[in-house]
Amino acid sequence: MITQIDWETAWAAGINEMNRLSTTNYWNQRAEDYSDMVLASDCNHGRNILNLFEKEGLLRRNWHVLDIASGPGAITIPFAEKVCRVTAVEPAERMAAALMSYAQNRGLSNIEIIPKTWQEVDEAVYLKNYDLVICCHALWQFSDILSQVRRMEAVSRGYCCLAHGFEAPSESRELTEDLGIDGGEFDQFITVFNLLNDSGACPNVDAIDYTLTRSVTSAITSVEKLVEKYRPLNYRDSEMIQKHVQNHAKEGMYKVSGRMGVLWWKVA
Amino acid sequence: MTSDSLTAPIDWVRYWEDSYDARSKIMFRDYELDDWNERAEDYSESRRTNNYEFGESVYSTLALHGIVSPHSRVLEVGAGPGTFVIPFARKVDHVTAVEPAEGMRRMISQNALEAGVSNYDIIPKIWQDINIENFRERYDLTITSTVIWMFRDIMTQISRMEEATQGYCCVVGGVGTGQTFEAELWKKIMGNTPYPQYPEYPLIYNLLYTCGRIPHVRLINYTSKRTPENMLRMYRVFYSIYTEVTPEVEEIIREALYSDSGEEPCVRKYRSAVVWWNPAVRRKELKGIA
Repeated sequence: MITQIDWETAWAAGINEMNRLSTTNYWNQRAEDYSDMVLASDCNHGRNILNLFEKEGLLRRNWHVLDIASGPGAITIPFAEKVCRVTAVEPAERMAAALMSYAQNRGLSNIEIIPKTWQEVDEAVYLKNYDLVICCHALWQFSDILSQVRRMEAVSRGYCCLAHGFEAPSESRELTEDLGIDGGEFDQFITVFNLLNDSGACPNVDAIDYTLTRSVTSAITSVEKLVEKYRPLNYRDSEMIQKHVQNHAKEGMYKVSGRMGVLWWKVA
Repeated sequence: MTSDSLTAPIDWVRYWEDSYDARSKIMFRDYELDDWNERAEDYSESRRTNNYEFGESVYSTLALHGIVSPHSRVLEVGAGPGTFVIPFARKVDHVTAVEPAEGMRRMISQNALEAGVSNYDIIPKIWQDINIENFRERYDLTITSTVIWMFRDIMTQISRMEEATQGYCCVVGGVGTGQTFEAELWKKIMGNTPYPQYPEYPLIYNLLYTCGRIPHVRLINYTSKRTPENMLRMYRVFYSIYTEVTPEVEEIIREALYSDSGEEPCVRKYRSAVVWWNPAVRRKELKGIA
């Protein structure tokens, strides 16, 4: 029996369940280790997304890019090195400070920050203002994703791009399995892929490889926080996490490789 | 419905089979090779539009991403009138066309002669009858378009396409463009019988993804131009699958075509998804720390 799938409802159900575990408080606690990872990885996934647009022959020096939920700048920094202007939407003060400090170290002065959530931004003020609107690794913030995508399209005069991991690094899979953490079956990437196709956006699709590098301390903290999303951390967990990270670290750095799905389309 | 059932993985293979069965259920008769002989001329005219615009766009897309090169040996499954044979043979080392319908094979030869290409051969069989052992890894690219809807055992056939290549696989699938002509004509002839589904994209992406592949997708736009006579021939075959094509049915088709394009060629804008992947690279499920 063929049934029509309501992808918007499926998305909302998955996100609501996920956000029950990943509260704002959780992400505030993760701010430091996440920033550490992005900077230590030299914005690897952002650079690979930039490469994609370059390879397609689309990237232009005079572009103005909007990076939604920029965090410490994984997308903003590599794009700011290649285009004339990047605006980052980032409400978390610590993330925004990390981004500006990183930009300063790199001698970049073409970045500005809108210190709000994307939902708080009045799109009427920015209609058709950007050549590329991108939201990477932050789709979980929108339970009403299609409305938010429509707002992204409204402020874009060129392209929209959504990116999300669709394959976890094998090293971390191994560890989470040993810890008995089951992240559930909700697949954000394929749900948003279908939702966009149903809505008529019909995105191009790419898969990019990336490498995450972080300090041993940052890696340990991130896994501990992950476990605490599901249950209190016990002594055995801590021991297992420390052992795993130490065993996989080289010269004090923990490095893993993953794959990210990139959905991008030209705005009509 | 619980939130668990909303977010649980979908059995896309089952979904594909159900869609195939639903179409079969409303069919008056099954497709036969003769239908494709009858369709050869209109199909050829459509594919030749704007100097093989469709095939050329697919080639450019794949070439930009390094999937085909002048050294490539290409296998086209269900080549029709030379959909990819002609535009690809102009630029690659060799193209092998698998095409069972004699009328279509004649069109390939005719179109190839006109285009001045001779670096191709034709296997006069249906894809399912090909002994894959004789073709294992002989090609750099296996490609197909407007064919996969014929395979109920979709992943078996996809796997066989993968076995023939040491490089990439590509499926080019139609994407709905919201044109109402087909649905309105169907309603006039078939009443409330549901319009049959010929699922290609994005269903094929879901299938490949679920089955561990990592497909890339580019959307292309193209035009198809056909004379009113060829359009009528196409619709006559199509509706004969679902009902008896009486003089009255033919008249409905003629009238619809006339009100759409008058006596001029019928011009349609289409959109397709070019989906390619490397069969040797597999996806692990997303569990763990993303």
